[in-house]
Amino acid sequence: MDHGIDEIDLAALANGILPADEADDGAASVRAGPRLAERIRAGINADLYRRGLEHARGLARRTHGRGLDQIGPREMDELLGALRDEMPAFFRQLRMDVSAMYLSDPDVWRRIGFPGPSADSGGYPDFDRPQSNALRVLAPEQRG
Amino acid sequence: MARELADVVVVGAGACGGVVAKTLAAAGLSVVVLEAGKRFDPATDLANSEANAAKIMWSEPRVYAGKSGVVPKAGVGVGGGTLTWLGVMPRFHPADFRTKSNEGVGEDWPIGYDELRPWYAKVEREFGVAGECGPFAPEPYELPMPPHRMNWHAQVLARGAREVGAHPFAPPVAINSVPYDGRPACCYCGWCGSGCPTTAKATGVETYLAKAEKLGARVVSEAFVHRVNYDAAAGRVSGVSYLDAELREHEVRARVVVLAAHALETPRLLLLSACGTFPQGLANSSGKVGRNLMSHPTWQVFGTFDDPVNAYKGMQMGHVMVQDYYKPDARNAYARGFVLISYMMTPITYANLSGSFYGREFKQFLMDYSHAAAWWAHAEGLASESNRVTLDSDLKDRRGLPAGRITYEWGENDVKVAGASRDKAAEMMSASGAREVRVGLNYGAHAMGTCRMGRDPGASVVNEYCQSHDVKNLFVCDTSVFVTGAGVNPTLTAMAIASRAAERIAEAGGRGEL
Repeated sequence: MDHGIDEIDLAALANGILPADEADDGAASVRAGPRLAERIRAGINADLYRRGLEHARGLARRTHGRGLDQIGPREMDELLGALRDEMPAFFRQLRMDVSAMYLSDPDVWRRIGFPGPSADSGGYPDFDRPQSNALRVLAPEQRG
Repeated sequence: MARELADVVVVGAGACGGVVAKTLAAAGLSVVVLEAGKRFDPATDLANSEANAAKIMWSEPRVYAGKSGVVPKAGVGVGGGTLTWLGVMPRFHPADFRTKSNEGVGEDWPIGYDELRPWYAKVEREFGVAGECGPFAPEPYELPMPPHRMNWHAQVLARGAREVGAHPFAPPVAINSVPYDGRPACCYCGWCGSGCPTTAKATGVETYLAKAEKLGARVVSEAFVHRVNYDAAAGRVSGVSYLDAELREHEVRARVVVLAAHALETPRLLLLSACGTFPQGLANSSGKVGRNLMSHPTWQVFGTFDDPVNAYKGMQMGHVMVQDYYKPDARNAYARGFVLISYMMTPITYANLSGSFYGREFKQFLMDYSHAAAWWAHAEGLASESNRVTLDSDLKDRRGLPAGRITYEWGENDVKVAGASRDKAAEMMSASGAREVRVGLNYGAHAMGTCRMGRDPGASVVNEYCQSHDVKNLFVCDTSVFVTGAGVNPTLTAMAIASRAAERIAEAGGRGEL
């Protein structure tokens, strides 16, 4: 097993970027960990991810004496903050990749109230009218 | 090696390359345009998908160095940056060309608004621009298409702008508000940055290049120009060498070479073309090639509202603009000025421009997408000799050529004027009724100024007609020639300058002077 690109560790970091909550499972709902691992194995940003993962594992070990997949949500929050300061390029890439995977899922589009492609159906003739309805299915009391 | 002969070879098939190609083809010259990227079919290749945004963005390896790590967006493909651009096209103001004389910052241009006036109007007409010149225009002027109606997003933003005493208006945008020049009116699908599948958004390829090709110009895609060839005996450039998609070598010999590869790749190409006569880079006896790189210090400011905004309905940028804070004012703590423009994005870009927060807060921000509005707070960045494009000594592209190295650090004034624009956007967002205001990413929009124009051959690279001081049949027609960046979007001004230069090239060519 290639410890440089452990998908369990990647999933732990991805779930820290977009955690599970009452709306959905966050990064896990789009299998961000395994998909990131696949990409890295294909060579995409491989060095950046190898260095970033190694650094993140070191942080988890030194601070909490545990693996990335063993630390709790609050600890992961702190760890990502440290990662953002210490390895900004890796953090940016991770945040960008995880959110792009999440936001490419039509199920997520429905949850955030985005209809997706629209040019083929004629765009939005009501673009200049008051917008009283969002497509979003969540009720206000479910939000945050 | 395949050889080809032309009167003019143009490097780069973007906004400016298109203007030059069309003007010179119309003058009866044989023109070859070489473009590093592919040719796309709008209806299929540029269909609504964020994956399509990636294929029209310049993604060759580069090193981004310096304290600020500015990464200006640039396009690739036949159409260049206009494939992915958002189309906002205001004119510069007379004062933008005289910042040194007026405020003691930057440098004065060798030309001014008066010289560009007819060329602004010509490009607006030929390219197709809709909008109002607005209450703070350099002078009252008419655009060929009526303004777009403000989308709901812009109406929400305009409400707050008026509340704080500003005068929001529908600015000049090169997106059709009515059918124009054989292209349809915009359907407000909201995907401009991924390329326009309907061609309502003006691009270099659907306008100038299409006309140039009808007039006989040849546009070659996937042709990466790696060298401008210099004939030392003649003291002239003889054409360019390029590599095709399979890295086969080609040469185009031409009487005139026009570089229109944008402010990062144009200087890189000149530096790659160093030769015995010009060991520091072709046409670089001044040492200014690559220097004085400018960008616009930009903040993204978001607001979240209780009611839906659905800001994805409409043009991504430019349904509304505020220009009240553009004109320099000696009472300000900074020189120059800024504009605020509506800018809403498809979801992935929304996430990327939001900043660096994460976790529950980030997820909530994404969940609020349909209830969000956003100002693009766009300020003028001043030139600095040390902000520059060089060749990196280690990193190579896939052809084995040294990658560009972009070194950038915002200056003190840049930080101040951008901070003022950010704070004004936040104030207006609150005044619009946002229940939460979030300051997002701070970044550099646009690249300009790496082959600046000027009268002094020791302090500039080209003259006011974009002609190299060192090599008289070599021209630079893109934002590289900018002396200042002004506080508004640069494409219209770059095209007006290119249009003026191309006319000059045609005249000089007609007299046998080139």
